[in-house]
Formats: sequence, C-alpha cells, structure tokens
Amino acid sequence: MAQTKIIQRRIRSIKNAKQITKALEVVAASRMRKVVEAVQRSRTYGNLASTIMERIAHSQEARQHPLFSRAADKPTLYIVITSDRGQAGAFNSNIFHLTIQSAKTERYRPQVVVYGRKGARFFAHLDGIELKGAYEDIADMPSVNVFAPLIEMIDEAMADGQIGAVKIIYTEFISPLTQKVSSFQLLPINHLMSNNASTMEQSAQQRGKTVYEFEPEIKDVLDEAIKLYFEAKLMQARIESAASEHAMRMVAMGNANRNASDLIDALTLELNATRQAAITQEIAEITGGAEAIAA
Amino acid sequence: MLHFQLVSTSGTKYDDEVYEVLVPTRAGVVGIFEDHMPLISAAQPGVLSVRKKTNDPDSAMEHFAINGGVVEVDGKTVRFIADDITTSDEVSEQEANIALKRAEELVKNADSQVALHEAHRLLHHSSAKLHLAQLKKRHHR
Repeated sequence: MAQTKIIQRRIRSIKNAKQITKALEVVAASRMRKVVEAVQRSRTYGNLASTIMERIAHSQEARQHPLFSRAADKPTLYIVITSDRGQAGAFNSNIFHLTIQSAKTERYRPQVVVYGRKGARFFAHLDGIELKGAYEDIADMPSVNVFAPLIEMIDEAMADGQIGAVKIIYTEFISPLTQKVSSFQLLPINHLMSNNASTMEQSAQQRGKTVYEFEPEIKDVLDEAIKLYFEAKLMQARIESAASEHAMRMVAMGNANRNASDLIDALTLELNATRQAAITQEIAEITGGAEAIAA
Repeated sequence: MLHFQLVSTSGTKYDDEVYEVLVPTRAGVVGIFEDHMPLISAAQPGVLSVRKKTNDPDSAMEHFAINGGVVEVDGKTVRFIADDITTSDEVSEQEANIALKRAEELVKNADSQVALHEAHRLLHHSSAKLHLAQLKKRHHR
C-alpha cells in the first residue's frame, strides 16, 4: 500500500504544477495578443522615423555631424533587452548568447545597458564587459519617457567620445511561433546609406534632385529628429521583445502543460497496476490461508 | 493634393490626401501646400491643422495637439512624427485645464534649467491641448 500512496502524492503534485503552467500559458497568450497590436504600430512609427532620418542623413550638413560619421575607434555600447521573469523558454539565453558572441568580436571592452531583471543579474556577474546601467520592471508598452535617461547618457557619451557605436540587442517578433534574436545598429546612422546597394542607387538618384531645407536651423532639427529616432527604435525593440517574450512563454508553458499531462497519464497507469497487484496479492493470501486451514 | 502622414508612438493618426497642412514650427506656423519646397523642420508644441479640400472653411479643418516632433516635406508628401499626438476626439477641456494648471505649477517650482525647459514644453503642450478642446467645442455649437 505504501507504493500507491507515493504514486498518488506524485500525481497530486504534478496536477498542481500543471494548473500553474496552464494559468501562465493563458496569461501569456492574452498579453501577447495585446502587445502584437502595438508591435505593428511601433513598426509604422519606427519605419517613418527611419525614412526621415535617411533623408536627413543625405544632406551635406548631416555628414559633418558626429552621429552620422563612420564609427570611431571607440568601445561599442550595447543596449540589451531581456525579460523580468523566467519561464519563457530560451528567450533570455538566446539574448545572452548573441551579446557574448558580439562582445567577443569587439576590440575594446564593450559597455552594456540592460533592460529586464534577468539580464541585470546575468551581466552583473559577467567578466569582459562594463555594465553601465540596468533597468527593471519596464512595461510591455512603455511610455517614451522610460528611455529618457538612456538617451541622455548616449548623447553625453557620444559627445565626450567615450563610445563609438551603439547597438540594440533584442528579440524580433516574427510570428507567435517564430522569434529571432537581432542586433540593430542605432549609431552611427550611416548604415542606412549602405544597407542595400540596388535600392540605394535608385533612391540616391531621386534624392539627388531633392535638396532639403532645414528650418529653423539644422542643429535644432537634427537634435529633435535624433531624439525621436532613438525613441522610435528603442520603443520598437522593447515592444517586439515583449511580444516575443510572451509568445515564447506561451509555447514553453504549453509544452510543460502537455508534459505534465503525459506524466499524469503514465503515473495513473502505474498507480492502477500497483493497486491491482496489491489486491491480487491480498486475495492470494486469503485463499492461500483458507486452503491451509482446510487441509 | 498632398499626401499627409501623421504618426505617433501609439499608431497612425492620419494618412490621407489633403489640400493644406498647418504645422507649428520653431520659426512660426508653416502652411504647406502641394509642391512646397523640400523641407525638414522641428515642430513646436501646438496645434497642427489639416484642410482636406480646397474649399473647406476653417471650421471644417481637422486639428491635432502635438508636443513637438519632426516634419518632412518633399513636395508631394508630408510626413510628421511626434511621440505624443492628441486627436480632437481624445481631448477633453476639463482634463486639459487640469494639465495646464499642473504645468504652470511645474514652471513656478522648477529648480534647474533642464526642469524649467521641460516644464515649459509641458506647458505649451497642455495649452495646445486646451486650444484643441476649445476648437472642438466651437465646431459643435
């Protein structure tokens, strides 16, 4: 009988775990649905910001601006977007993997600013990088003000010449079943011009005719445009990461839930078999005893 | 006709053919029609207005409160991005009034140059919202 008690206890504990994974799956699914709509909106905004930035980048004035020139021979700042919570499959480990890979190719000790508690813990113990800042508890769809301290920091570090480039490492949301870890070069902005050669030539021809006037002054326009561009790109990276996080959690919890069901099925079979064995044993003992008395 | 795109972080607010766009920039309000010279400009917190058809009276214009942003004009298309754009459906006079009071407080209590700058920006933004709310009221009369 002791055997059946143990199995019963295991079944009960797996059932509890299953309830938790089920709940997490449902929550992740509903949160993902909400964020996916925001992903589309943030992409529209981000694309438009890129288009405007591209136009600006072609002007003579912008070429002299430090943020548009070639990457200086300086350390790179990585902005890494992770999650606050775990149970999301390989979401955070994929991000860490790419960050470490990119950091290895750097000539200088890279600087890191991380969003999300999991990332903050991970990078706090990592050698070979300089942790510049860690932000936790960022909303799925944050207000743009969340990034204000970071943007200020980038501006200062670029002005002082402490960093030469800025890259965002985030998870791109492709579909609920597919997400891709990506690295986006935020600064310098000249990558827009060399991104892809054929469309570049076409648009360069068109743009050859268009010479933009800047009002009131190029500096004011650039400052405002760069701020909006940063906000747009950071926002997009955050929202895409949030959508991916929920999607990956949903899938991971769905798998956990199925595994729990399989385990319960297997254990239930085992429980029945042991119980039956115990009953058979008991009957055998009784009949055996009765026969012994009769003999 | 011009193609006008107005996009904020919370999505596309306007995307259609228009006759005229009035944008408050740091150098004053700019009226943009078709074949305007190529221009990139930084906007000022204020009210952005759109006239859809040539003969539309001022009362038929559509208005948006903006907190800054960047406008790009290439003669055929006007693109405007800002992190916060309020449509006239979203605005309420009462809330705008409260926000304006709060911004005035902030301007009074600002203890640094940066804070004062921010407070001024907020003040302009809330007065733009209030202006928008009043414009809306006028139309409904």
